Amino acid sequence: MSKSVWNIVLSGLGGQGILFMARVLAEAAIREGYFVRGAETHGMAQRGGSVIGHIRIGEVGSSLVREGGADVLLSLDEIEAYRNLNYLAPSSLMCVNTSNKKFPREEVRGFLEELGIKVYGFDALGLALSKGIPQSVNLALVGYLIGIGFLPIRYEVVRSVVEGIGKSRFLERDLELLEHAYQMGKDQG
Amino acid sequence: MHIRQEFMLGNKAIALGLLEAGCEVMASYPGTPSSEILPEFIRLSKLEGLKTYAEWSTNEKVAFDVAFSAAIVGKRAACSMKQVGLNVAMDSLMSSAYIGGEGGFVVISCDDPGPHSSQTEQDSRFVARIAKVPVFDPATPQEARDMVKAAMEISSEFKIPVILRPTIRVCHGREPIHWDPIPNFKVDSQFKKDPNRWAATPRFRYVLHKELNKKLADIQTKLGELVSFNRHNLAVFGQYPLGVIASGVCWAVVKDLFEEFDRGDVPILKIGTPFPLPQDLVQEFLSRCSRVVVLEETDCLIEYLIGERNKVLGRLSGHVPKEGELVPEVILRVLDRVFVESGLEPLSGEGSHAKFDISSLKLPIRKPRLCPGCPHRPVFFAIRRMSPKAIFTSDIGCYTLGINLGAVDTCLNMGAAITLATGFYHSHHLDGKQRPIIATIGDSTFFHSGTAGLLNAVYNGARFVLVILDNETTAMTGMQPTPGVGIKADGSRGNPIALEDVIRGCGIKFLKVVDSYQLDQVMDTLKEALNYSQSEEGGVAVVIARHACVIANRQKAIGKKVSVEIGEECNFCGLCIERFECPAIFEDTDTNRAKINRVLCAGCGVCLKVCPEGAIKIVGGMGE
Repeated sequence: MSKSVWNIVLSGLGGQGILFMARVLAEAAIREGYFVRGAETHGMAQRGGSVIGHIRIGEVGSSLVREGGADVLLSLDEIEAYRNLNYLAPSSLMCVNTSNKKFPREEVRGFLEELGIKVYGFDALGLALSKGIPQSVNLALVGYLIGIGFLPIRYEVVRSVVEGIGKSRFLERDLELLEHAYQMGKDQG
Repeated sequence: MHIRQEFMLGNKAIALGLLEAGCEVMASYPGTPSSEILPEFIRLSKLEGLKTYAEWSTNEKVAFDVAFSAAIVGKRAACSMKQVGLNVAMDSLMSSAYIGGEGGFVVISCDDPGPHSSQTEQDSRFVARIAKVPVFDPATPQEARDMVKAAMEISSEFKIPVILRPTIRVCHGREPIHWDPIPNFKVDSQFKKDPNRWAATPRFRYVLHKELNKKLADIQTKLGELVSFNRHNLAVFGQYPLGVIASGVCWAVVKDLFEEFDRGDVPILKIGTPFPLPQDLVQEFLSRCSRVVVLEETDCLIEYLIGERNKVLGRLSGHVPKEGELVPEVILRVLDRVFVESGLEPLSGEGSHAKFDISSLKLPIRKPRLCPGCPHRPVFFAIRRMSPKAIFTSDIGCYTLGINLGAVDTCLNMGAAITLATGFYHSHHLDGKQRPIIATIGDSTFFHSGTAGLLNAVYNGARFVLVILDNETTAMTGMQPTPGVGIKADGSRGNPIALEDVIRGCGIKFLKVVDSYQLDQVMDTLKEALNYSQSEEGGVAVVIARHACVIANRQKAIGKKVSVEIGEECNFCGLCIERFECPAIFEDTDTNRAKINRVLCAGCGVCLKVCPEGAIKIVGGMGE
């Protein structure tokens, strides 16, 4: 049976731009013809605390991904990725913004291998900083994930979504960053 | 084909439904998870060219009354709030249930199972039962849109307030929503004099109560026929060892789990209107199932209303957790257990999926903190510095996070900073003790429910220091304007109300205004205020600590940024990290010194005065 539902958990810290990341992925999936549900975090938790978001692509009735049900864990922060490890399903994918050379840390490797989880550590912040737009770290991570090629979403579609909703002041640099990250993901995927 | 489409937040779908239902007047007070409904009502009104009135009211009771009065004169109206806001509006709700409106009136009360951003996990559906008004419990954003329309219809037909109770996963869930242009709907305001109804005395209230009970019976029949909201999938003559009754988001989760694990063998009864409960449907379902498990958020209303205790499982039987959100993995565990207990194969079964012991990693707790550059920070730092032994009463808002700086001891509800301070004073005074008390409250919270407490404190001779943290916005809930600024919900100018005037009007004799960023000034003024509150002639001393929120208005809050650095004088005493707690200052384990995170630093420069060693220094402007 071909895959009909993709469950994505997004994590990070309040203020890092998880809502934007979720919005780009969801809009792109909708343009690809899928039904999409999302769940967001607002309010108190947004002030620098742990934040989590859910995106479900496909015909589903509820917006939350269950533990053990995520096909992708996309995290803007390494520690927050570990905190949400139990969302990962067997044979799923974990994609994390980190500059840590020893990623993923020793203690979790056995678990990840046991479940056959593919792990991608990517210095999205480093790349965004090199373009002078550190606040676009979220966009870099999205580009990289699309490059890996696991989701039924094409790069061109993501690009057009970003063009539509991106902040005009940095749009050119944002698109350059997206492209660069996408290519890096493609080399890994 | 529909003309418009958006990947829409549940709260926005509710606003859309309200406009489609002909709602002309709306009022609200912001509170997570309800805050987006009113702004979206305004945005969609503009987009669709509809003439409506919407306001941010000063509190939920005010919002309720403003909207309800529109229903009295025949319009369709709504108010929205978070669940604890409904407590504030409770007085109005109880009474309005008896008299009802002439038009339509929907009360939207957004619940927060978890809780994610609230003081309680209370279940607004129970409030509906207490008030004797119908309540709808949507499962998805689209259903919330459909239900708010149905709620408005029921309200108009039966002349009764109706509650829509979405939970946080509906409010802050998103799905693609399609719609067509909305036609204008206008009812001319007409106040029909009828004192026996609008000003009913107890004698008439008895009659109205009788009418209300009759309405509820009729509404119960009507709701039982709304098959899109209340329905089951029993086979014609089927008998089952187990059935699931589910309401709201729980229903959507159960449906997804049954699909994922391919379980068509257990029937589901979906309840969209928990009160009045469609009993015929429930009884039919019960008669066909040997056991039934009830999944609902957040309390056990349906379980109570069913009343059967032998075959019905749920919170009362100990099968469903009594606290916390019913997230999919929790529901899966409940279902696995009751399936096995009913002699069925479990859906997933324990051990089908390896779990990692996250606690073994000892990950740091990332709690919410005041933002870099937040004007509340220096004020809390000063409060703690000037009177470390004082009792610190505080209130609801971003500034509750002053708890991290050791300057918040209590947070009960809106306005309680002042009322608790009053009670603490009188209790200590009764014992012949004088203990310093410093209350903190935000500007919006003060307008919401500060004045009644302050009047009381002055009238009854309490003594404490009240610091009003005026950041010129309602920050926590998403930067809604306040009466102090005077910008209205639609962005147009209203009449600003000066905090100073209100405070003087409450009979306060000591009032000083300081700039929150001027740490020395804040400390000096606090000292003066403490002295006043404890002097013979003294009373309540009020200090307004004013500075724009750095997130709402960075330009006004910071102006020219400064670049700071921590020098070699740092002996890592930890004061800047523990007592100032700026996210941009961290411990550098390589040098054993505090260090500035340049990406996070807002450049406010307030920390310059915090270090006792003078190690935090300016290294030049950071520019724009």
